[in-house]
Amino acid sequence: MELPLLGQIYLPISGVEIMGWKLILLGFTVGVIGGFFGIGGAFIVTPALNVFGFPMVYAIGTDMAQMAGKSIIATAKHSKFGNVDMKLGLIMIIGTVIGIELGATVIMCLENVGNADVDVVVRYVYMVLLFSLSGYMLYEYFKLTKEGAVENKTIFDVGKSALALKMQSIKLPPMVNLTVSGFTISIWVILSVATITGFVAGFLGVGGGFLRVPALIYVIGSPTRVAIGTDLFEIMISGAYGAFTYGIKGRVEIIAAVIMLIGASVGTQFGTLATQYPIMLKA
Amino acid sequence: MEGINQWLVELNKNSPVWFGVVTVLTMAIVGVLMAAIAEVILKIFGVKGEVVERFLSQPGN
Repeated sequence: MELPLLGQIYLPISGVEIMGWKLILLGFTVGVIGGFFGIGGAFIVTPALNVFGFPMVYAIGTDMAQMAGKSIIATAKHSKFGNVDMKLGLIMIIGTVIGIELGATVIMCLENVGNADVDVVVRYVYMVLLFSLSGYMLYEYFKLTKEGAVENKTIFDVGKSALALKMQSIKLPPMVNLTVSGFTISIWVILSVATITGFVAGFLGVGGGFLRVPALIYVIGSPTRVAIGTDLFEIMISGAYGAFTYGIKGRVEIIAAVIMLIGASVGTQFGTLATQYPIMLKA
Repeated sequence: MEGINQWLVELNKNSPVWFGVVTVLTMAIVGVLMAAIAEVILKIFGVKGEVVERFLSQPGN
């Protein structure tokens, strides 16, 4: 007897046939990763859907849709733990929406230009971004481990980077007092970071979390837990906007997004809970 | 499933704006529903989440 949603499914909007269990497993995996790191996980889902046979633009749109739904679950959980700075999140949304619209417009232009292979362009941009980011974070990890060894203690948070301190010292009004994050910063810094990450999000079809969380930590200077929770709040809103934009353009496979969301809803619970254990270990 | 698929294809073709609205609403409703179900299941099978919440509500945490 074939279980519903686990067997072969035909998706008529994109014209793709796929095994349902692949979508559920993919959703579960990004749910765990997303809940723990505070990211949408689209840098995994979009390429994975493309490998499964989705045309790239449909992979982007479908992922935006599932990300919106998954982020609701994760944000609610992080909010209970006091990790969501709504003021910061709402300001970032303004910049992100502008950036996403610009990014989505560029990708649609590329799709309409006969010579441009959108899949190849997006894949190369992904590779450059992911390698650069992972390289920097590895460097940061080894630096902190060394500092911890010298001071003979385990470091639980990166603290404020030199760049973040410089950004917070910019006194361009209006200034915003972020009580949850614990500092005051110029609104223009927040908007600039959000617009740039939003553009990348719209272009690559990602939530931008894998860029925005490091940006919140290293450029704006948020504590790591707050960066995670706040980013998920923002992804919830910007994901919904991205899903709407790609929906209007006819590039969302809703059935696939719902199936992935079922898996993600379970995974998110585990990922989110795991973020709180370092705090309990510290005590 | 076939009926839903057909309806979505027609909506996608004939009314892109409503397709966009249906996309967002579907994800929101399913997301909230799954979050609620997950909370209930977690409460039935374990109290780990509540332990963390109680710990965090203590002064100094």
